[in-house]
Amino acid sequence: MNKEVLLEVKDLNVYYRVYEGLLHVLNDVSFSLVEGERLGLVGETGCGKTTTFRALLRVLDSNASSRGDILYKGRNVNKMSQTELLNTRRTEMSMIFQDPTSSLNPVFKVGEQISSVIRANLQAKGINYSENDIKNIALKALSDVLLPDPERIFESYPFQLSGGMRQRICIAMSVATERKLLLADEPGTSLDVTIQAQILGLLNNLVKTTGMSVILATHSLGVVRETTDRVCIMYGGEIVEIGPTRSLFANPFHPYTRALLACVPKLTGEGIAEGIPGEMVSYLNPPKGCRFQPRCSFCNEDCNRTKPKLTLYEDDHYVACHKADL
Amino acid sequence: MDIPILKLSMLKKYFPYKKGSFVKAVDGVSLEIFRGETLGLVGESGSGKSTVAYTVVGMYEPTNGQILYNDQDISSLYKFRSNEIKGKIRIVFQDPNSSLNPRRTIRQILFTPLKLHKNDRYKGFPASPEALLEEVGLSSIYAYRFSRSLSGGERQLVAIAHAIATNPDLVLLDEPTSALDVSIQAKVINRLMDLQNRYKLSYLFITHDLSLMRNVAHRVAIMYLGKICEIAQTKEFFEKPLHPYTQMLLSSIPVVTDEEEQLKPKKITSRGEIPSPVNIPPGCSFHLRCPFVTDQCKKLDPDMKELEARHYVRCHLYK
Repeated sequence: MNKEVLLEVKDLNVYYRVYEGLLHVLNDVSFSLVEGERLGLVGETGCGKTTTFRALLRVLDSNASSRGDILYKGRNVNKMSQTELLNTRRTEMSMIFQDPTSSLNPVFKVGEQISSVIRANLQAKGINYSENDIKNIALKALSDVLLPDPERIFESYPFQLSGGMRQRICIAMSVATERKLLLADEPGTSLDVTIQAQILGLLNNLVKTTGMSVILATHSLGVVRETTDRVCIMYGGEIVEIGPTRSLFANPFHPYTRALLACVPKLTGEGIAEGIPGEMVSYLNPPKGCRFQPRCSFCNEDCNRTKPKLTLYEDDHYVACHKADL
Repeated sequence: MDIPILKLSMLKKYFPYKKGSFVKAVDGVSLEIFRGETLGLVGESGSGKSTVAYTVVGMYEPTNGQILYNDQDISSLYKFRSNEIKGKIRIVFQDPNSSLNPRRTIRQILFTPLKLHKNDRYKGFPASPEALLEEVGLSSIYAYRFSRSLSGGERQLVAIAHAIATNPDLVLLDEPTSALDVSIQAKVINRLMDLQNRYKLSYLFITHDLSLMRNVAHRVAIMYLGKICEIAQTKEFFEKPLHPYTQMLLSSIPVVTDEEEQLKPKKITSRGEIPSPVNIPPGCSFHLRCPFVTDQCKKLDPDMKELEARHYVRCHLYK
């Protein structure tokens, strides 16, 4: 691979201070992303997908603290000054959220919201602009995301549009400003399957045409399989398996990945597995060794004591498990 | 063939909207559910599938059409129904957080239906809240807890226990697992299947997840803008989908294995969005999104046709 590494996360730890004590949510999360790559981040509710995104943008809640290195184009996000950070957010990274209803302001027209994003972006880049330029860029972005009649949408309020259209507007905001990295947090979850397919297809096309990189967080294994190049499987704030999408789905090693795949209802109609016993790990007092160990049917004393490291099993396919070769 | 547990004939439910116009949520739905059968009712949001369930259970009064329970007309509101009917048709809602009373213990919640429907139960049916909890696979120590101390999946199991407390014939499941993670969903679905086998329950399973229906339902019906487009036996439905909308839905499902990929119909690219049920397009309501649209589709609404044994489809493509 000769493509440049865009983002590198090394040993990212995130803690939340709450009434009951200190929650150790992300535990040594490491991954990297090259330019134009689509990376999937999969796991169940509460496994730390959104926390990872918030840590990448440094928009964690005030009771959180993050440790570790987030290298974006070689610069450490965690050590940037406020102005540098703001500039990065305005020109390089952007995020789209699960619920397009609440990520747009209901009292401003769509056009004003897109324009303000573009204005901030152009200012940060130090480019001279006129209001007319901004409108043209916005209209072009709206038609890039295949919205019918951009002029009308520009003058609409968010409540006049459907969920799929609002999600397209959120994507248009990052297209208009030529971001390098798009963090998509469950972009299709609140939408119907047909609309979800349209949105994911759109994202795929944008990656091809604009060369931006996407990190897609979702709990749907089917979605990542169809839209990403590489996948990280997360459980309890840790990455348990990471590998190229094709080989990971064809040959999953980690017991959690296997159990999760077995739970997904299949079109072949072979029935549904019993589900994974036990409950999601408590971050207040996580197990010392492997965090999946209390729910794992293969565990032994090793798993109890030491935390497994991500080890290479196949081409570019890493697994964090003591028993994965079984 | 025996009498269906539930039969809907041309059921309509319109809600008044601005200036004499109506939201046609359900616009002529006919279907039958037999004893021990699961009928999957699938559709996008806004297609009217939940309204069907709410009308059947008596939360809404139908605008037109009939609801027959064992050949007996029950097209009235819940409060006018007999106690027996209320106990025989029960519903489980999507969000267990809002369907369980946060101020009552699980025992109190489960005790109410047991008390109200005392006479309708037969021997061998769980008669106490604790027994009901064990019936759905929860420990009886949960009885003295509040719903807030339970996880999402456990709450949904309590809601299911509440629904089966009266020994019902028909349970309407309104997206019971769409708020849950897949590993939890698997548990809840397996419990539901156990209960169905044990008590010969019939389910009307409302969902937008077609792959789930492949594993759970005996028959599947697709709804679009208040009307049913296609009904068939599950196996046939997935092997030979006929309606273009069914094909579009099937081809949009994200799948996890290569075998599944081959089962999907040839890619019909999804386009457009479901129109508003206030202005249902004339002719076939799907014609705006259909890739095979003809002039006929724009003018004439197709009728339901039985193409093969118990495989009904509503489309002009099939004569």
